[in-house]
Amino acid sequence: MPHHFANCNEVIEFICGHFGDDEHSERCAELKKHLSQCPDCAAYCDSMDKLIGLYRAAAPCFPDDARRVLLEALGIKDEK
Amino acid sequence: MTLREIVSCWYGEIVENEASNCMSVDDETTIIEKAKQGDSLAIKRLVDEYAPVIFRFSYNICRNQERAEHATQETFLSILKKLDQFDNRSKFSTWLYTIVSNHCLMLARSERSRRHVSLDDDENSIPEIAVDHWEHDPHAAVERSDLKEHLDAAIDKLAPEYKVVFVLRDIEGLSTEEVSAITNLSVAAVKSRLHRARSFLRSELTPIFDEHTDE
Repeated sequence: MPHHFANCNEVIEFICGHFGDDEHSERCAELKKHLSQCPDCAAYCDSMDKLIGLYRAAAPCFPDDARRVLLEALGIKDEK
Repeated sequence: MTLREIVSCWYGEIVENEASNCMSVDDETTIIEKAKQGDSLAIKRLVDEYAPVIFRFSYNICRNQERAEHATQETFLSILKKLDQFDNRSKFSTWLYTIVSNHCLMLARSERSRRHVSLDDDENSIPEIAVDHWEHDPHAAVERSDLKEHLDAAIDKLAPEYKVVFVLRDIEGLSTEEVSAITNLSVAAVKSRLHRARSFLRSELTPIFDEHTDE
């Protein structure tokens, strides 16, 4: 299932994780401090998270019928 | 830390890679080798493992189920034709994304009637961020068909070259370097397109989110 961040703190932890920093690193501390003090950046992070969540949530699953048609097109028998 | 630096953080790494599959690398290598020999069970395994990924990616580009199914089929036919060319130097998923991205771009370019917004692609010119607060929960929002329609309309306006970068990076969760390899763009160009796509979608959807927040 797609991951959806619960809140800005999760986003911050994730950003820090991808920097290769632990969340107590100087850079993460600076990032957290800035986000906690800057409503604009916090709002930006939050809205981007929501945009991505909305985009992901709107995608359907691969339909069984399409799988069957694809296997037929590839000349593969679907023996389950 | 400035706003621009914060945005750079977003450029760097923001979503985890959900494109990773359940097969181990060893399993995958064995299955690919068997598929190259025409082993139908191995091909079926590749379909079950990767068709949902390819379909989801295609859908996220074209926002149309029928076209996404078509793109998935075309991509798999190409994959099987070209499987001998895959030499394990890159990740199999990266190779797949390259093929499906090219299919989606070709499909989009063939639809000449569509008009996309023009986004300046100057790598050095990053637009300022308009900051608005979105209070709406996306999972609840998507249940509302009107919001989904607005999202589809906004995505539809975005040029496919930008959409591909946005979907690979933010929706599929690939790294900037992987997106660069798949799209054959420089890392700077990927970052620039990503930021423009994000800003565009965000600005398109902000009035809708504001409207629903006011309800």
